[in-house]
Amino acid sequence: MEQMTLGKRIAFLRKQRNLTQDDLAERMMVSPQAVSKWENDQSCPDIALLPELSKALGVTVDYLLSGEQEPAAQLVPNENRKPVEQMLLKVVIDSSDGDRVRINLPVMLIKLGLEMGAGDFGISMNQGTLQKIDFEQIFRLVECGVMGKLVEMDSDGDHVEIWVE
Amino acid sequence: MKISMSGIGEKQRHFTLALPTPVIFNRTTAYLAVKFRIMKNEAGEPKLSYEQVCVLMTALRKGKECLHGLPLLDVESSDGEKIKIYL
Repeated sequence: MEQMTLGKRIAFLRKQRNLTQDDLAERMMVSPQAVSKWENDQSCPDIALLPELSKALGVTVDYLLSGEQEPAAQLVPNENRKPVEQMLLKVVIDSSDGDRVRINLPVMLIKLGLEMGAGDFGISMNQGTLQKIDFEQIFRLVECGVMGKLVEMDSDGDHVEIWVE
Repeated sequence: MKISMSGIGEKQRHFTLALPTPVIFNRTTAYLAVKFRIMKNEAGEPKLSYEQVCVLMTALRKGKECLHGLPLLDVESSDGEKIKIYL
């Protein structure tokens, strides 16, 4: 993948998701010819389209542009670590019935919640298939310097990811 | 703070409510939140005190800077309805 051009990467990811050029064009609100040109490296997608394009292809903008996947989780040394006040906890939920939920929570709010005794925030979906996520454990990991994708789980067709950035 | 809701097809509508964040997260809101909880749970004490809710309100105001324009909550239902909440 690393040797691929942007166009080849778009084509590869599109086919991987069983999308036709027409499907992708419709989603991106461009012509199928535009998609064809991207894939043949005759032109590049507009910069404003990159977030939506990466979403449609199920990858990050970074990955789409560079082809380099960030490691799922990494231990960040103290000197390179952001202060907790600037950290963000991202919860990504794709439910089996097609609902999409994205939550961006400042980590300091979680810290405060824990200090106030709200030990579990609890996220439940689809009659509680996904019971509880232990935010206390997640916060402990963050305090130790673990960043990136901390949780990835599939439960009854629901997909959940928790990232700390 | 901005709350935006939109739908497609038969449910096509667009609704946006935008208010300055300090108007929403302030001591008055904290007072009302605590009072409301007392009214709802007459038998027991509220889980959070007024002072704690005030601290929470301050944290929510500061949380806005941390989000850098990202929505706090972004929900898209399978039938095309979208709800976004920005601090």
